Amino acid sequence: MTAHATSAIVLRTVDVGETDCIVHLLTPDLGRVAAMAKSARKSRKRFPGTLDLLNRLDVELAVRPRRMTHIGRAKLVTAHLGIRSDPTRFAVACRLAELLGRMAPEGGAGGDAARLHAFACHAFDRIETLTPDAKLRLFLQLESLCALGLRPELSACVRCGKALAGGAAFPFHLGDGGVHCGDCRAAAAHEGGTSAVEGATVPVHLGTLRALDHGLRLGFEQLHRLSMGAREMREAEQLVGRFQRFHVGLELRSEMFLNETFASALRP
Amino acid sequence: MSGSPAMNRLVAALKRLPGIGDKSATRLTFFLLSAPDSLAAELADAIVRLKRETVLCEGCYDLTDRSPCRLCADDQRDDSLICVVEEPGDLQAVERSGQFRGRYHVLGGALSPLEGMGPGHLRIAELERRVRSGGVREVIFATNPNAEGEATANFIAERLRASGVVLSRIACGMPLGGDLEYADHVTVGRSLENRHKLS
Repeated sequence: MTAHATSAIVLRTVDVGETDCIVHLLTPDLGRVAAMAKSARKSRKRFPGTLDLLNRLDVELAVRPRRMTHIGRAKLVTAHLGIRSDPTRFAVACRLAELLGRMAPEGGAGGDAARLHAFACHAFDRIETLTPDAKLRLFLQLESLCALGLRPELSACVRCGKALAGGAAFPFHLGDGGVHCGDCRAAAAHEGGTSAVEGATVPVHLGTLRALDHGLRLGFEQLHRLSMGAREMREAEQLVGRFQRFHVGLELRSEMFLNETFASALRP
Repeated sequence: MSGSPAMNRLVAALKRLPGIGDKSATRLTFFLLSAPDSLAAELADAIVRLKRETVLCEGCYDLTDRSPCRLCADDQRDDSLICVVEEPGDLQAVERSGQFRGRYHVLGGALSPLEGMGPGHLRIAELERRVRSGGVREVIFATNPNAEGEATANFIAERLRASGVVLSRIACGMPLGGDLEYADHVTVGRSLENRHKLS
């Protein structure tokens, strides 16, 4: 057994038996870890108020080969109380936590885990302070996918790399992660349609792709400088939503709550 | 498991209970086989009666054997105060304190997007109807002080804000018998925030 001290974000807790719980953590060196917290729900001294959803912690993990990791000690760093105080913030944060919990890799190869952990810390900090609107929700979803290594190609043909041009809608290939230019579409059709799988494309205009690309470069803090029309927003939401669904392989549970919360927040 | 079909049937039934796996179900089955007949009959009768005789109170949505429940039927309680709790067990905890003489509203859980638990799964609309029907002065949110409980309280409070009733939250801080040294800084901070004067 090795004791491993690291920082972590709580992505989910699942009660087990009478007093224990399994805590899903995102760490900068071990990636996503599911760790057992013995007596977590009983003891007032072992983990007092620390193992709560979205909390940022300093933890000591007992890592044992071929056996479940245990949490030996946990110290609260940040509780993100501002996220709990606003239903839309809570909904957006839960979607991010679920996405990371499902898609973040276990293990910490090549600094990827550290980058993902840093992104998650930054994103939860931003969610706590910004007022989530449709645009922030969209770009948080897109940035999360980018941080997970699923960055779509938004400025050029995903096959040949040629810059895109034209006013008509392009078919965005969800599996390829980008659009094909006219030449590549013609070539693919000639070859027998390599990736033009029925239902795996989303029509998208160049303006929408440019807006998404611009928004990613601006970052959360500067998003207010990005203006998107109703059609661009609709297209972008559909594109990013289906892109996520395609790569995650299922509809996230938190998505329904997020939709309900946003609909209720928009109601007069 | 090999054995009689009756044993296999009971093991399969017990395995459907939360926290019971194959081994526990088999162990319980063998225990029941060796236990007196009266214990098995008593257990079976208790389960059947539990399902037959337990109903939801139409006033507070607590589990009870008659509706309205004892607490809702008590005309000595203050109708203008509603204490909102997540589960029937939480209602019992508040009631045990002996400090609350108003009415209750059991939500049936807390908002938990990660478990697919949204506002539609909770009795929020019923609470809104109770408040709108008039006579309510204050709604006290006694949901758990964790992320889901706090989010639930804030979500409902936002919906009830327009009603004009006083919306309050139970205090958070150090537990009695607790130890400051072991408390996290958020709990200590909240304790200071919610401090009260010593007269």
